[in-house]
Amino acid sequence: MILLPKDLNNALVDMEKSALSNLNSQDFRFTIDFRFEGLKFNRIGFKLYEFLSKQNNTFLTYSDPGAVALAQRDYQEIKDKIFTFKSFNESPNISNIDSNLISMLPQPYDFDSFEPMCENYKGKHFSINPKFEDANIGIGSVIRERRKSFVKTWVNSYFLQPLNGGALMRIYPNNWMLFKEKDNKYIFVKDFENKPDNETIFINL
Amino acid sequence: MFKRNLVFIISFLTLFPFFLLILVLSERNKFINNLYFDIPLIFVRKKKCLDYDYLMNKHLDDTFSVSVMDENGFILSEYNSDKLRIPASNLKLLSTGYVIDKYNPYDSLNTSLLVDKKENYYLIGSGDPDLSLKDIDYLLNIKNFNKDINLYILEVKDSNKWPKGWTYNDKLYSYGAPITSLAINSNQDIYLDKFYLKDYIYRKLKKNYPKSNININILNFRNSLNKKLRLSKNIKSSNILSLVSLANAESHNFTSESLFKNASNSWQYNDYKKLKDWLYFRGLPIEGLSINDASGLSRSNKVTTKLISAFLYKMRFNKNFKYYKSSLSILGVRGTLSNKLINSNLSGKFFGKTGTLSNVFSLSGYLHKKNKIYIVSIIQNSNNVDVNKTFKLMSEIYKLDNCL
Repeated sequence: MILLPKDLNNALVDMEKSALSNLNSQDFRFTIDFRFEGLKFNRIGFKLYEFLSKQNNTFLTYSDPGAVALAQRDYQEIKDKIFTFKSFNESPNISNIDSNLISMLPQPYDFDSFEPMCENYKGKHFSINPKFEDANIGIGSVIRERRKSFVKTWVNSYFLQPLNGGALMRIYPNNWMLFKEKDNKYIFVKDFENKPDNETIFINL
Repeated sequence: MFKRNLVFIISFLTLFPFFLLILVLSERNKFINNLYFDIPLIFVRKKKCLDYDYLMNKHLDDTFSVSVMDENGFILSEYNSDKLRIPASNLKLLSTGYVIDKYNPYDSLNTSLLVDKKENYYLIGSGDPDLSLKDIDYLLNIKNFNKDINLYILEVKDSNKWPKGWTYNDKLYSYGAPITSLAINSNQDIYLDKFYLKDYIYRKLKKNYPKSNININILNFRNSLNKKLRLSKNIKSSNILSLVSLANAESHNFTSESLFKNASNSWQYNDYKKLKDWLYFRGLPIEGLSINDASGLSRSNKVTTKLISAFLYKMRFNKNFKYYKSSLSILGVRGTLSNKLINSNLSGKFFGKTGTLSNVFSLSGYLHKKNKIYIVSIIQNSNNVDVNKTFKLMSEIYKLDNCL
């Protein structure tokens, strides 16, 4: 029987399971999405780091120097493994194919530093709560197409989102699973090969 | 000849500001930009933007102050922008700007054990917010102490532990912890004060050197002692950038106060005139400005949104702006703004700082809109603070077209 995680710790265990499957897969770029409020994402990133670094040399990357400095303060023991997207791209580690890379919360405005790093890095790459596209940014069609093809190179590894009257979850390599809330309990409703859109979710809840 | 020189000098003086303005607006040269940041001039102009003015007049009451500027220094809209308001933690935008301007972002604060010719030891801190008892153990781990151990702890006077305007209630909580130079875990536990530290060090030394005579005294903090001292041991804090990020993104009061005291060399007294003067000498509008701390917890602080927006605009020319901006909270992404408007269009587009006190809410920073950067400062001082209204206003500003 498929169950939703009881708490964040259980969700993190599920995330590790999916990451392990990713390491043994043919794909190289993975997204991890926790779509709810009140989370300390650095904790999630560090937890994933702890897990992946048992398997291989692992690096953590952030968008800007401030975020890096704060993470280095919080996790002094892995200070040398934390970079900005730009500084990691300029470091010799970018060519280390026998390693893992975690990117924290890349945003659309980080695209200019994030994309070159991704293109140059050939190891297993996990992005936590990435936001690659932004319909509101006034960019030309060439760049928009470039972004679209870039987004397609990413495979979802773990996804968890509470919905109005339900929840949506995915643990790689399983299908996407939709749950319905009834009497304060979540019951499995249906699974989908691809991420269901809002209309499909609405119909099934 | 004299006439020709005079014409040349007058022409130079007349044209130099325009020449500088052109160079500055091109935003290409870091040196020129920083030069502009440091001179007591600011080029800002008013632009008529009816949509923006309509939005302010329609939605806001007199408890609000708002200023909106674009990246080229045009003031797009102002609402009570000259009115003095309590800024709460938005004051940190000014004080951390001062800090990041004075320091190299990768410098650190030091906690040191120094020794004089007579083998007297001096423990001197600089308000490292992460200082722990383990660090003190490390500093005291000296191999060759004399039979008589004289150690002096240098600490700020009790009368200077809290800035003016912090309430009795504030002082009871960790967010209002006293600002001291040897603060164990940012003084979160007020019982771990200098007297506890004195006792702790005594016990530690007595255990390690049971046959020694141990004298420990507390002296008032001085930036420099009138003696030649050599460094015995030292502990470095996390770098300045991480501390500025802690002060801004996480709104950590102790860190912002400690950083300012170090940057302004003012551990011996509570004086924020240096910050006011620094703003004045950068051509910023400081009329009526009152600054009584570096964190914004003091209710005696008074600023205008005009000052905050002009300051944020001018900071863009500072040599360390990249670091300053990266220390801010991001709406829906990180810091104190991480849980706000997560799934909105605005998520990830606003880099700024919140400020919250009873009767105060403030929100100021850089708004990314259609490949342009806008500077927005909003402060509400009211018995009925409406936080949602401030965020709604920010969303409305985001939706408005560029003012052409």
